Amino acid sequence: MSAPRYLRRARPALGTLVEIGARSPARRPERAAPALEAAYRVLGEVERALSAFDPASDVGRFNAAPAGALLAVTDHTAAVLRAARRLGRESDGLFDVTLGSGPLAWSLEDKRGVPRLRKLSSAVRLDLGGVGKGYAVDRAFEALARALGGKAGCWVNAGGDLRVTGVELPVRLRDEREGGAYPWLVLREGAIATSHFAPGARADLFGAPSLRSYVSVASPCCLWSDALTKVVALLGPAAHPVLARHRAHAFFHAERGP
Amino acid sequence: MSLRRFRSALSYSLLAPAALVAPAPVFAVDYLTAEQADRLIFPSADRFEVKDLSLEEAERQALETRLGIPVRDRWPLRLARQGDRYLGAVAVDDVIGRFERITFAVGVGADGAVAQVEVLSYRESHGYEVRLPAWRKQFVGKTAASPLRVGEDISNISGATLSCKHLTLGVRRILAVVQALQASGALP
Repeated sequence: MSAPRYLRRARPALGTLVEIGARSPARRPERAAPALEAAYRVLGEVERALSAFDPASDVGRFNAAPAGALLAVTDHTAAVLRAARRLGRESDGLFDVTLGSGPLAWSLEDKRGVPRLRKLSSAVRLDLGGVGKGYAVDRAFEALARALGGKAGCWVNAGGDLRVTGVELPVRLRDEREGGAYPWLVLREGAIATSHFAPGARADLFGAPSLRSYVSVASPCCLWSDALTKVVALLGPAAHPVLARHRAHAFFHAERGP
Repeated sequence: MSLRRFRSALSYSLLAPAALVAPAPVFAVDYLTAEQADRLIFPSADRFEVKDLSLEEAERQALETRLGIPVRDRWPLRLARQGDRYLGAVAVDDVIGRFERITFAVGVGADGAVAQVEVLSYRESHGYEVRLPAWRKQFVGKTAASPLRVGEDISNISGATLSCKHLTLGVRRILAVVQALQASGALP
């Protein structure tokens, strides 16, 4: 029997199921398993920094801190916050990781290479749910590709937000109403993230609670794909310049069924 | 692309909704056999001892009350040992979500903490099918089946973020069961 061509694992992480897969390197097949472990380790590291549920995380400490507090934070948190700040600017403030609790009530400083986060009002709360997963996928993916070396073929899929390189990965779209997963496209390089909008979902599409659709965004990296699904949902066609800036493409899928 | 090919592509996409009446494709991935998971979770073990353990009825009911989910009485566990040393136990269980059935293994170390969680298989179909006993039964024992082959389907799913709530509860259930069995002396 021929050796397995792909190694795949799935574990719970980031509040969802994370699948990590890799083509076994032809010359160094023994590299695949440790590479997957390295990727899961990085996922755990990012989760510990960004989780809103963990009081010891950067986000947990920020949310519990009094106004005026200055906290040393990890590079992960700083990177996500910088991206969030940028998207906030590009979307005229619609993309907001404080969910309205104080979009301008935090600032990021840098002291001799150590990022520090200042809390400017006691009411402000951070929720990195809209970008954190995509960011975690990117970091895990990079660790995976690095550990595999050479022309890596691999992917990371965190509950539907996925990034891939060097593999023709068939991507199916889950039917959130009836179940089942329909063939959609093949992704070879880059990232895809999808959000589902329907009555009762966490957010509304174009501010209209009755609209039902999936919004997917393809872009070179998962952080932007993840975050831009929300921007597209908020801005609609006005999101075009933002998408172009991030070399991203948006897809709308109608829901199946009546 | 010629006009003719464009037309056919267009008519295909227009016709696509008609495929609605066809049943949704089943999506399934086998990740690991239970034995592979054992070795992955406790790599330093030199043997695994299979033990079929049972919870006392009072204990089982107490766990159900505490966890708020059903707890079965029989738990086949595989005990990882290295020489005389007990490293921990691995239990396999499955949970049903809205559209998916996830079979998973949890390793609980000698210290009574979760050592690792590995998904053995993932199956997804229509929500109503997932709840049918016949649909669930067809996969029993499947995870111990064929190893990966060349040309295997490596499809992935995108969509709304899959909730991990059921799996988290399932892991908590195994942890509580193993701790109860340790407390009763059934496990080292």
